[in-house]
Amino acid sequence: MGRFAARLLPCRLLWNGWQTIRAFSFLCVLLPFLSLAGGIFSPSGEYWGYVRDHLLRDYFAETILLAASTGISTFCLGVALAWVMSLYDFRGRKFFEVFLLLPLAIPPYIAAYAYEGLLGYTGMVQSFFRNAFDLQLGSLTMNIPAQAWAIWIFTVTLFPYVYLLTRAMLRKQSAALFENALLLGGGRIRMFLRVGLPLLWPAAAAGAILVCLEVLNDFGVSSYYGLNTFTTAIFAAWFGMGDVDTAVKLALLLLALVFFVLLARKAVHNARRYQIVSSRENPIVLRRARGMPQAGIVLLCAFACLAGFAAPLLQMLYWLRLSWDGAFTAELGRALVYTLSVSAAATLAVMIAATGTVNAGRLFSGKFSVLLSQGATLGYAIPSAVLAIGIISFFIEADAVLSVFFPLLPVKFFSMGGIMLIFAYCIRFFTVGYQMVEAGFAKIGVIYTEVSRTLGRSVTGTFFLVDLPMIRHALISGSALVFIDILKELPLSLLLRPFNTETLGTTVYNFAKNEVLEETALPSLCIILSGTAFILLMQSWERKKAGHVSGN
Amino acid sequence: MFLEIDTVFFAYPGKASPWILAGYSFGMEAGERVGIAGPSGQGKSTLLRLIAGLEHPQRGNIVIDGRTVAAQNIHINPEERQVGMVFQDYGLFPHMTVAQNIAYGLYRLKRDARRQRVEVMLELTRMQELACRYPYEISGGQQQRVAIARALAPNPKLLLLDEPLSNLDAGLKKEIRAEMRELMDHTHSTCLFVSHDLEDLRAVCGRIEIIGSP
Repeated sequence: MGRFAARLLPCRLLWNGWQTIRAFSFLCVLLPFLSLAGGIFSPSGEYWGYVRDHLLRDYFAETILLAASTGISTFCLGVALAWVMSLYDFRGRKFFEVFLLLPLAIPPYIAAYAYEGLLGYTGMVQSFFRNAFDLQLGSLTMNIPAQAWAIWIFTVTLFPYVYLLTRAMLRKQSAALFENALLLGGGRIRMFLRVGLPLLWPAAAAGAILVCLEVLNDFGVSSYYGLNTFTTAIFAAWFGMGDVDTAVKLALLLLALVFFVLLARKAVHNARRYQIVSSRENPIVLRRARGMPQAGIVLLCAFACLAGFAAPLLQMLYWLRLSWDGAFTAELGRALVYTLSVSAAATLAVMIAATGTVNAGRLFSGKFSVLLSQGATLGYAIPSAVLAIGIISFFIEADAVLSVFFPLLPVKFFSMGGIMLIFAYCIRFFTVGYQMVEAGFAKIGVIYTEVSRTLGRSVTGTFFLVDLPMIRHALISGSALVFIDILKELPLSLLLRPFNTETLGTTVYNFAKNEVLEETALPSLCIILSGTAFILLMQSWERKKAGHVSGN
Repeated sequence: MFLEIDTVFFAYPGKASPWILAGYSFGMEAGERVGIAGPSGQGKSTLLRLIAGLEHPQRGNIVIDGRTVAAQNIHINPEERQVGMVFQDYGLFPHMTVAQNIAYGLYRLKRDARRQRVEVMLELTRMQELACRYPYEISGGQQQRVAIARALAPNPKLLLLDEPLSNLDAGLKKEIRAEMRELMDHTHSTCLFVSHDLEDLRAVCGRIEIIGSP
């Protein structure tokens, strides 16, 4: 037996349940890719020719413009906020510490509807100026291009991705770096440009790339503003023209764009390897800001909280007041129950698969092992429209096979039921659960597992007795995060929900599509408030943990 | 020979450095207490991990009590080797009390026998008073005693000690060394003790081997 085989030997043990869960997760992610790959060779319809000759250039231009502009704007806002929150003490800092994360609870499509209500002709802002000062702002808002509105919406709701990663990077830096920069002269602006920015750009760029992936995935905002992005084009080809082949080809092109974004992420990740991360022995001491600088910082933070969270929330509350009488309908109740059930089922499946995959990855090393684990996390990068097409193609085939072998089963058992939607949620949000479980395992390391095994327990016995109790917090946080993400999801729900069934997200979308924006209030608030509760809970948990550590 | 390590080669995958252990051979008899000393990075801890089954050698054989536990096409899982190990950081399960930690490896015993065994180990390590405490509620020295008691409780054929005293201050070290020796005498354990501190090894072991270049 060769050296390679000898290295694999500890795995005599190894084709076990954990490896099976991981291999299954990997295959599930692979399936939609394989289904789509078939589309490359499918014959093209008439519509594809038209799209290719007349529309494709616009799709590329609009999608890239939207993703790149949002990436840049969230980079600037996120970095500025992370910088002032990490280096300065100012009035209201504790408040902003909590509230700057809350825009994460607002799905961009809900923010888009809210802003339309807020700034539209009959909205609060224009009505106020008209009634109080006899000022007509209508032409001003009408003249702003739809792309700019979309970029605004994405920026104010997605900047926390950049803010969070940049702050985490700044927390790891030693005060000595910035103190030396100041002592060497040039002032605070030079310190930011010459020391701060080069240190934190990889983290901020990683956040901005996540934002770009979110923009590429978006359907709600683009369709509301009538933008010609790839996602709206896929929907138009599929539902408008009934041309699945064109939709598949567009999905493949979108996937190619995502591939370039992932290459950028890889380049940024490689740049991060050169980061010098100091120990926490000399953490940054906050400098008290006073006067104009303090006013500027407070204004910046207040703007981010107001634009990303308070404004959409207040608009929704205002609409709820207007639509209160007819808000509680049986349809909404059914949508709520359905959303909660599929979200719970998908969350459970994601967490089981993620835990199995992470545990297999930490126990069994090797290149193949890394490939399986990383491959399983690709689902988050696949835009929902692409994923939906891949999944639906697969499940239609699966139904055809099933009907031959099990004729007594209902017709289109997979493709007409909730299974397909739950499966799609699992692939899309697997990475979220995976990262939380991975962080949990990283905290405990492998020593407890090794101790347990030398005391006679098997890998699985060790998992239930030792690992599981120790990562329970990560599992709870991960479950909550996946659940909230599924609650907010729109494109997959629109494409894959069973006939005559709605989720909270699709209910909001349908109301907005039918121009009854007030009616979006209650389902939107259900989504926003669940997200807000989760974020506040997580923050209080983190504070308790930090207090506990410093107490020790 | 109770423990036989025959021409073992080991390198961590992906590391640029050559073998950590290159053709290492070693043997010890049942009931013996052997110390392994040597500078850092010479593979002392790796050797213990290979014996425990936490790593697998690229070449060479390991035999414990006449059973080949590691060879080119053999790998016996750590849980099947009946080898106890005390780690440098102890690895006490933070969600279990002292008594629960000691009872962890006794799952094959019936409840009464298990309780009895835990009491014996608590008495041997003079930890009766602390049975219901959690690891974070006891001192470093006490944690170290619990780790040894836990490793000895299932009556392993071989006890591996990986620098168990390195986290203790000088005064406490002296005290614990004497206690460890007493405990080993009482349990007649076959023991392989790895440390960079020769004083630790002299206090507990009958024979000392040096690994790697001096």
